[in-house]
Formats: sequence, structure tokens, C-alpha cells
Amino acid sequence: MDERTQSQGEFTGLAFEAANGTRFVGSQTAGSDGDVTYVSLPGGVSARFSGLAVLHGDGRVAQRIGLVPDLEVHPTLAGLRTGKDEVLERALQLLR
Amino acid sequence: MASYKRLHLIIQDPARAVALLQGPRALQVILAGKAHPRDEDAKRIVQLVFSLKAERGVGGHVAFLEDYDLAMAPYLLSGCDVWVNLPRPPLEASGTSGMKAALNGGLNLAVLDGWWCEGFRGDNGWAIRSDEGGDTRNQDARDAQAFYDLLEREVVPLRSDKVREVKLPRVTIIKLKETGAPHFQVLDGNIGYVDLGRLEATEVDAMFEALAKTRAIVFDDRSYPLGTAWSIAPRLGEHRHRIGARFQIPCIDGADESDAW
Repeated sequence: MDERTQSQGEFTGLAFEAANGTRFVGSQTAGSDGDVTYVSLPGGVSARFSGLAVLHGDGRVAQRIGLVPDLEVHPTLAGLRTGKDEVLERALQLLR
Repeated sequence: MASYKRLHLIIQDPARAVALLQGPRALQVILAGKAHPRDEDAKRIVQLVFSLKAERGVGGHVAFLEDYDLAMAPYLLSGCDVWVNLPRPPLEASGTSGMKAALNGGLNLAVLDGWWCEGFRGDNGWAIRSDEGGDTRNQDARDAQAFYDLLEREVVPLRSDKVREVKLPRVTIIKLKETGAPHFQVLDGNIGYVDLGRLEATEVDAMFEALAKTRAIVFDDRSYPLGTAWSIAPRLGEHRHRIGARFQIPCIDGADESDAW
């Protein structure tokens, strides 16, 4: 997971974590999940935003914070240049 | 607020002013500023504007924000559509607030004086050419007339009924394209790999079957999944918790605020 993991991606992580203690590898996620809430304001203005609060199954806040990795791994410039997926590699290392 | 700013022009013709605050394209007017403690004229003008507050149709459309300061200015500058300045020429040395509004994307409707002589291009707002000569009362009447004309003919029609959408996404949702890359596979060391951004809900059974004998599975969640969490999570085995995530809806009455999915 990384900063591109958001909304359903984060819900997926929450569900897996609760199901079997799935470990997270990578970097903190977007912290942007929940429904889309609509609000009508005076002057013909309406706005949409993430309305529902989303929490981990055990009650910890998930929104704004996102999923926090158990093993923090960031891609490096050198790795990106050589086309390596360092985050996946570390996850595999963890499991081997 | 200073007397040369001629705030009184906005209520020079009260009937026309109040009419602009009504109807489907009613204007919202925000006034802010401070009069110098010894500027009696300016203080009187503010009082004069205030005297109209009981007028029908004014409530809800005009707001006077007290104690204009650095903390308030960003909200006004970034949120206003039209910034109005009606100084008596040639007394406006610059009028920097209008410059700040322009830099924040606002349009200026101002008397050609100070910076606006330079800043007005013809398409970035509206200008009132005030005749400096003669009697100031006549000058005020002419300029107020020009001000109302511009509001009625140019500004109000611009208020569109069309929806204007402004998006402030935290990040862009990453939807992967089909590239022929496998949606799931067994990697070296007998570890399963699932690309959640590509795995379709209809492939979940086949995925579990193919990866059944692997030692572990890596789910790649670095994109937007295709609705598979609901069928994968219940099959991950241990069922440590019944609840995966909690969603809360704040309710005004405070009752029944939590629901677990």
C-alpha cells in the first residue's frame, strides 16, 4: 500500500486486517474514505465531502490518518530508475 | 473605511440597492473595514449603511464583518467574486486590497483611480470613470448610477444557474488499465500475488483456487480495487473479528449515531 491507496482500497485493508491480521507493507495511505455526503447551502451552493466517519474495527480512527504500515517501505530513486518494485520485494522478503 | 471611499454610494438609491438583493440571482454583500476613530464622516456613513438593516429583504444578504484584520482577510480575498471600491478620485493612492483580490482570482468593480487605472484591462472587471470636476454631490449621484447600472447589466447576469464544480481531491484515484499483466500469480518461494487493482470480483474463486497451496498471499493495494474486499475478507481464514470497519453518521439528535458494517 502507499499514498495511492484510498477509499475502497483503505476499506479493503481494514477488512483484511480484521479478518486475519493481514500485515501492511509500504507507506501510509490517503486517509480518505467513507461515503460522499451532499450538503446544500444558501445561495445555490452545494458541496460534497467525505461525511461518514470511518474507523478500524476496534474503534481507532482511520480517516485523515489512513492505514499505517507495519513495515514502512518507500521506493528509492535508484530502485525506480532500475524498474524495481522495492515495496513488493520487501513484502516478499518478510514472507520468505 | 474612510470618507473618500464613498461607502454611501452603495445605498445612494435604496430601492435599487434592495432590489439587487432579491430574486433568484440576488447578490450577497460583505462589508468589512474599520473607520479611523477620528474620521467622523466615515463613522457616520457606516451608521447610515447600518440604518438599512431593518429594510425588508436585506437580512441574510448583507453582512458586516467587524474587526477586519489579517486573520479575516484571506477568507474575503479568496472567497469573493467581485471586489468593490468606489473612491473619490484622485484620492485613492493605490487601493492595494483590490490588487490582492485580483491576485486571488476576484474581479474588481472599481472607480478608475489608484492601481485600477493601470490594472483595468477591459476584460478583468468593471471600471467607473468618475468625472473629477464640479460638485461632489452630482459626482456621487453619477457614480452611484454607473455603479448600479454595472451591477444590474453586467454583474447580476453573470450569476449563472449552471453548476460550477470545484474538486479538492486528496489524491487521484488510480484505476489501472488492462495491460495483460496477470491479475494473480504464484511467485518464487510459493508466495501468491494478487493485484487488487485488476482482480475482478468474478475472479475471486479462481484466485483462491490457484493460490490455495501457497504459503502466503501478497495483496497489492496500491490502486483502486474493483469491489473484491467483500468476497475476499470472509475467506481469509481465521475470522479474528466480526467487524472489519466502523462507519459513523453524525445525527443532529445524537441518537443512534453508530452503525457497524
